[in-house]
Amino acid sequence: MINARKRLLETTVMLAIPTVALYMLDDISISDAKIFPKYICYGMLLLAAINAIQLWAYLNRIRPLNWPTFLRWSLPFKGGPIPFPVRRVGVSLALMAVYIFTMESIGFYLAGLLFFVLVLLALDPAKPTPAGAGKKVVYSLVFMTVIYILFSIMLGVVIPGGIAL
Amino acid sequence: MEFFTYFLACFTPLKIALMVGGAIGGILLGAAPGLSPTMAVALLVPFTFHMDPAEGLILLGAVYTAAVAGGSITAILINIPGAPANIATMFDGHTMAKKGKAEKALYLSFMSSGLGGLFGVAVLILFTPPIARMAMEFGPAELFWLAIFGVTVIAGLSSGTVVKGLYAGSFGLLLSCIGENPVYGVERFVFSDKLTGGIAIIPALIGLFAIPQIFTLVETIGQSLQRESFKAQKGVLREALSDILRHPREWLMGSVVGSFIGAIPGAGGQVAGLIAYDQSKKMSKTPERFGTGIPEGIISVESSNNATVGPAMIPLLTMGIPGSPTAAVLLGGLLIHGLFPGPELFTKHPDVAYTFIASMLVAQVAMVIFGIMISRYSHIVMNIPNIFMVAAVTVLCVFGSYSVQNSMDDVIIMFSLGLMMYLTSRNSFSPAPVVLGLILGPLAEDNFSRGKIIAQTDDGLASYFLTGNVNMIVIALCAISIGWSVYSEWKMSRNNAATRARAASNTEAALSQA
Repeated sequence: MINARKRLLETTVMLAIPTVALYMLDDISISDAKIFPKYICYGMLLLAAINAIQLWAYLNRIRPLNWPTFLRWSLPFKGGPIPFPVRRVGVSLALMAVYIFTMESIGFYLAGLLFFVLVLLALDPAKPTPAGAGKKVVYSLVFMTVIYILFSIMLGVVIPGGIAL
Repeated sequence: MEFFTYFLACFTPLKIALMVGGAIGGILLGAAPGLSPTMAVALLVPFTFHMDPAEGLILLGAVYTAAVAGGSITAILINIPGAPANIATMFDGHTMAKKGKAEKALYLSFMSSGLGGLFGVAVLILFTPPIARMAMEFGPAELFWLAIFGVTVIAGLSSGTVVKGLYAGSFGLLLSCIGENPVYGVERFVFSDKLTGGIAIIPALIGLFAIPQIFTLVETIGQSLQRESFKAQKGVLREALSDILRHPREWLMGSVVGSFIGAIPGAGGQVAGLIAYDQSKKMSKTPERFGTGIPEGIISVESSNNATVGPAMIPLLTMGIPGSPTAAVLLGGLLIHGLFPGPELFTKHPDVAYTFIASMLVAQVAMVIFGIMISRYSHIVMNIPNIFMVAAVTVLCVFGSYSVQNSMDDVIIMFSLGLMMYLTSRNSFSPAPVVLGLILGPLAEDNFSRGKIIAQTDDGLASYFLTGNVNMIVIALCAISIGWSVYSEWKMSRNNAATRARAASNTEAALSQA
């Protein structure tokens, strides 16, 4: 049932992308500039339609279906053979998002260091200890020093300092 | 003759340092958990931006060669292939390691990888110039169809289903249209200010290949693996060398299979390894010994998967069509220096093209020497917890994406594309066709527009694009690649259905007996 739901969502997205793209192309006045993307969109619509037919055949094969369950959308990964680590993936995603969207204001190196330490502390399945946390901070400092030497000294990349420098 | 001039040019201190560093780094990256050769090369591309083009390519080529060989370390020691190309290495490599001969298995793997790699690069040297000369004759229509062929061939082979692969390839082509059209100066699909300049290839490559891998590593944090380790023994190297000398048929056959398959766009090391293993088994007088930890199994597979590396560059360097996902990433390495591969690369930038090819030859030798030297310490890299890999690779992705254009927009695009790829990879979509579409999109559109202008003054669009020998051959190749993928998919689903039916009838019989 979860597979059917996943595939239904997938087919909807596959149909939506070229449809939205074609709608966006309508605003372009020069027709020559939209021919190539237009052909690609038609191709994508054709492939999405084939996928929809494959989905229909699949749904027929796994009958009887409990159709009302399709209305209860859930995480597409739930219910797989191995339990999906929702919390761990959610935490890492949140940390990455915070890191990327704050790095310019607080500085690339400081943000990188904080991200490194937080990932090591938040995702480690082992019980946290002060000594373990200290080691992780040291590892993070060593890694960020290597990054600093590589990017700022050897490659000469100008990295935004933010509030840190 | 030109090749030999540039071959000697490889032996400057900096270039030798890059080849050796690339070989060592590639072996370690190949042995590191969760890092595929493609991802390793993708992460390194931004570093080469600040180098001379030839030096940058030398580094990338050495890393690519060594990472494929390094993937055998995990296949032998923990029964997990470092890359798809090392799947067949596990059959005899891990069994040999379980018998306490891990050191010998690793030495055999590196030596046969080197032999196969040298053979593959020799094929690259022999076949590239004539194909490049032939490609000089191609016009816009031929180049357009070649770009489409590049997308269809990878799309057909690398995703869960052919439809999804082709859709992903088309999506990549659509992504390449984002931003200002260079011919007409019109903005397309710019729904955010961050997309005004289009999608830069390097951040996209990093995001599409690395971010899904990071999340996969997050999913497997805390999972323990059974590892085989070893203590260095005397005389093992000599024993491995005599095994190689006693089995010339295996490495020669593996090298020929690998070179042939490597030259076919999209086929890759995985297919080569499995075919070489299968052929060695069929040709052996004692096929029943295969899978019990014999040298022949390792020699044939490792020589074949490294033999694909050189020939996979033939379509890339001569026509700009990457033969594998890693070749697509290497194409990104060329593009950031403003070099577009194709026949003109050999006439306008022979220093870059020939030095790169020559360096791959030297890198094979470096890979064997340093592979043998450092494989006994590979357990240190393999024991790095996933959690460190997650943090380190994320920071490298961010810095790498930013450093290409010093743009924060690139970092956000990298992250967004990577997240999208992670979600879609759960539904059997693969990043390779998207990358191919993104890279080959401008080539396809540019040649389509040029062809359209020529066609308007001639007999029309259909006549221009659908006639001519080369056009018809490439269109036929597109059709064959899609048709073959559809047939393989159908055959696989039929086999799966038969296996399921057999399992069900066995269960039923067992239940009725009970």
